[in-house]
Amino acid sequence: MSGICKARLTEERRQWRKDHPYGFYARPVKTENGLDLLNWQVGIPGKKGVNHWCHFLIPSNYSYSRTPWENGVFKMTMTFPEDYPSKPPKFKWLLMGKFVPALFHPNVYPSGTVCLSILNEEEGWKPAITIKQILLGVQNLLDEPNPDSPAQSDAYMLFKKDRVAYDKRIRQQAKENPA
Amino acid sequence: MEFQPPSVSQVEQIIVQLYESIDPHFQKSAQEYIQNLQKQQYAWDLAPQLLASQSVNAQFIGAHIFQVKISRDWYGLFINDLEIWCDLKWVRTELLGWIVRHSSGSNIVVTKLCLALTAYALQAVPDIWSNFIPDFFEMLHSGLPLLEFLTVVPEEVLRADLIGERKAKVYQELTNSIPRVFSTLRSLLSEYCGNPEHDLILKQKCLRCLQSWILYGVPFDSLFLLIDNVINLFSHESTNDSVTDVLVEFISQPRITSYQNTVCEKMLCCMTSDWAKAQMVNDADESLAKNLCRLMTTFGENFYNYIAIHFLRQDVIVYMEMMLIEMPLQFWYLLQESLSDPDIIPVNNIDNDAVNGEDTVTSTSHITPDESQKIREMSLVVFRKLVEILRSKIQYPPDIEWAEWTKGIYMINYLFVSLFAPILIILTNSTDVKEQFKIYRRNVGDTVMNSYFVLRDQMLAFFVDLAITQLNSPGRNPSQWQDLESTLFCIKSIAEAVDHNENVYLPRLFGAEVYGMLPLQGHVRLRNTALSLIGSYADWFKSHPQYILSALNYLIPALSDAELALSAATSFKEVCDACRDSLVGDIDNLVNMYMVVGPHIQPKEKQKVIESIADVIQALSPDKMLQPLLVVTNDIIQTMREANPPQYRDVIITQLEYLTCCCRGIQPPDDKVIILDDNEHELRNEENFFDPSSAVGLANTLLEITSNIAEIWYHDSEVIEYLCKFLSIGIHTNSSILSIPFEMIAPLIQISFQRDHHSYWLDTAAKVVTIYGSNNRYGTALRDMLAALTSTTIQHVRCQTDMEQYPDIVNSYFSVLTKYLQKCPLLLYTLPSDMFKSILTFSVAGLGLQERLALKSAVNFMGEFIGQNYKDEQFAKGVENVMMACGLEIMRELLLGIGGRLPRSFVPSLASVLHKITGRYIEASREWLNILLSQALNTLILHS
Repeated sequence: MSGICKARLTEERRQWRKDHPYGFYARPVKTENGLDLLNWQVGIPGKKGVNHWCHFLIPSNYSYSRTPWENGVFKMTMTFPEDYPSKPPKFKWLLMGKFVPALFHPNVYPSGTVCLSILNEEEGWKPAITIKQILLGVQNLLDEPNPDSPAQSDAYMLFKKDRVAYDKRIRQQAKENPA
Repeated sequence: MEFQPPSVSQVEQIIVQLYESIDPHFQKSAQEYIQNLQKQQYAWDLAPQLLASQSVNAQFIGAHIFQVKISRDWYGLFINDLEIWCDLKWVRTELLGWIVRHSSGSNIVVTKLCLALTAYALQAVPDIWSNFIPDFFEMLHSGLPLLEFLTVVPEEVLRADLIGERKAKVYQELTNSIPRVFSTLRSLLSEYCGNPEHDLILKQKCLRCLQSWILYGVPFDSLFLLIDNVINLFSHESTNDSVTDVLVEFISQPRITSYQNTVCEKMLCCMTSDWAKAQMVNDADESLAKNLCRLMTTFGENFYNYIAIHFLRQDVIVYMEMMLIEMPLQFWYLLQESLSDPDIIPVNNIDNDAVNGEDTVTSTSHITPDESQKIREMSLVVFRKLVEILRSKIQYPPDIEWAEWTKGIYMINYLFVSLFAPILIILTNSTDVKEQFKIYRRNVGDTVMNSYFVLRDQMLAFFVDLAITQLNSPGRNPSQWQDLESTLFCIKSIAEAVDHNENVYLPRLFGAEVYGMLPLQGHVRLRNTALSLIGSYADWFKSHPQYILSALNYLIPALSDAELALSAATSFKEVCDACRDSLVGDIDNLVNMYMVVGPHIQPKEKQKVIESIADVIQALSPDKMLQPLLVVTNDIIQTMREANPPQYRDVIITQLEYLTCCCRGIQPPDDKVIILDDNEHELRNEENFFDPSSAVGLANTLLEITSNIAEIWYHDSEVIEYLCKFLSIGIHTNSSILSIPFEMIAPLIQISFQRDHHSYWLDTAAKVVTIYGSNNRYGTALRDMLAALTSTTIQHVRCQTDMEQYPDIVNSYFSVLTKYLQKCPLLLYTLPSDMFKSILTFSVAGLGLQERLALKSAVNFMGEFIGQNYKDEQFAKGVENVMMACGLEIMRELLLGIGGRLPRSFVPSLASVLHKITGRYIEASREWLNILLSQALNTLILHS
């Protein structure tokens, strides 16, 4: 690992420990030789319903809009290349065993790789983007898929054709990935 | 439109109404009126008139107009060239005059005037006003307006978008002024002005000003001179808030490390003073304790190395004791890392010690081996105390109180004894509060794990003993579960860090002393934690197989309990997966257990259980695999046989999922997809030691059932999706027990896809080609399958509109074609020529689609097609013939796409295909380009 890569990841880890968004986790994998800073396990909580600034004022029986992702925590792996931060990390849905289908989401490839512009070296990646920003970006992507960049057919087709069935499937998925 | 200058009294009237009206529409129009007024030249005259008003609001607007005009309409001052200098001086004199006149009046007006004057200075530097800060000192000498000005200047400079020479000059101006500013602040902070009320305001203002300069970035030497004066004011209630802000800013400065020792001495002295200690238990004024905590936390997060090195110092010990009350999790993690860092606390090298007769240290710090030993001993004490507190923090409250948390109040008292919990308390509703507690527990769990690296075996000893004590405490209330649960939760948190060979404490935990005594009824949370604890130590069980069965005995009854099933099934899966080799001897017991408990387990959990048992079956020798597998699958197959449409649709889906899980389980954990060529095929047959009649029987049954499902549910996309998933994974598995043989699956796919055009059939076909494609013996059948799938696809998807309407079919069809290209490309050329042509026409049409999924797959396929690697000359010739026939069309589509017909995000992939063509067919590409460009030119001429 290059000095720049190591220093940056050490600092990213420190910053993450110091301040990270609510409900998320991100930690380098532990190996027999200590921490493997190039491989992180992350957990991304599904977005909650619209965050009204005035929660206090809303009666408890008021049903404000919810997202089908809420109550789920989606475990992924984040792999950094040797030339990080020149190149972006890769995000992969953690396959819990063999042949488990990838995350049901229009922008997740069947291999599990997440397709997001800020994670693409030729599109939106900038070395200044922090781990926190990436994870928030992925969380955003969960509930706001980008139909212009389909990565798997199943989720993409359902998202386009039948939003109710799509939401139901996502809700089931969130249930299977509890916090 | 001409703007008629209003009179001052009219404007004053509008200002009154702006602030006093309760009608939002009126307020909005009043605001717009004033904003419009600011744009007029007349506003330069209006501003001083408003400043002369009796109303503070009008004065404020007057000052504001000055600020806005200077910032946005500076060149408006230059209307009359002859009066430029006069005008410029006039503005400065006006502003200074008004500052003096209002200096005993309203603060907000003075602040606004200072902002206006700063805006003026930033515009006037360097030509008109070069030394504005010294001038200001001269004009105002001292007092509040001066402090106000000195406070806003650095803030405004940071905010202003200065460039070039002006930026350099302004920054220089500030740098030059630092000694004078700081000497003024120092004398104001250290002296008493005679009037207590005024003195307080002055000191608060000074501190605020100092903070502004720290934020701007001042050389540390200058700051350092003031630290004593600031610290002295920390213990004064009235200045405590502002001092905390300054100190927090001060110790967060990255450049502080060079002065670390002196700063830390002073800060520790301040934070551990008697006054400060008293504040930790001061209920009367929470804000003082809060400020202290903030300061201590910031200190800890910046000076953890210093604390580690000076671990034995009395003030550091006091500081840590106070931090134990506060419990900021982040600090303990940083401290643990420092303590484990050999560059900070040297490691005593025992091996060398034996040789050299003295400790050898590997560190750059000046800690003696003796000291480092003491530090380690001391850190054990501190961290031991820490984990005791951490455990108590994550203990659930009594049931009644937990129910009360729905009101969202108790959380504060219970959880946030420390004022610095890592969670923001935004109490919304009960779910949020309870969820916050769960997340807090996870964060604490992380801290417990970090502490393990300090305490190691001591921590295990502590928690295991504690669990035993908790279970055995005399007179224990039978309904009490919270304390034991929190202990088990802590043990679970360190699972990742504990050595798999640990054989002192974990045997006690998983043996009779703890798990043997855990309740089997009620206590859902306790049992859930106990269940997931087993799963988290799956790797430990692998090295200690003698404890597996008793753990499973605890797990299995919970599988059929809806409240526990998820954690039980997850742990069951983890243990079976990791310990499959140790469990092979117990496969009959596991299968029997499944037969008994299975009917009572919910589908999602049952999937896990089936996969777990299949994991163990996988580890059996091939001749023993079939029997248990038959027992498990017979149950599933039986249910499917009994399920008749339409009521049993969900049953069918569930059973298909079970079969899929079974396939997953029997796949070896480190295995890759097997690809059958001639030799491997024989090998696979040889490996099958199954009783042929049973294996064939199972295969026939599966074929019969899947064919039935495919026929009955052909229209139901969801059922077909699950069916295809099972078929695909079945043919992937190593042992062919759950596979439908090629001879049967190929026709099944063809017929079914013809019946209803679900893309899932094409996906399954792609899997079939992956596995069997490189085996020559299937050539004819594979070609027939491709021909059948192609003709069905092309009949169903006839034009570009159809392609855009069925992107999933287009996508899956291209995947099938790509697999043929990769595995058996020659088969493509043995198709009837009409059909081959249709495929090419279809692919070229795909390059012009607007639908992203279909377009993407078409572009990928074209890239694969052109980029094929071929060694066979005849084959190469074949490809070239195709390209000569279609190359022009392909290139036309690519160029049109790149030229703007397709979304921009597709340009790189289109360009890469184009690159492949031009690289491989150089001459022809030139010719095609000439043709295409001349056609384009002709079109242009025609249009013009």
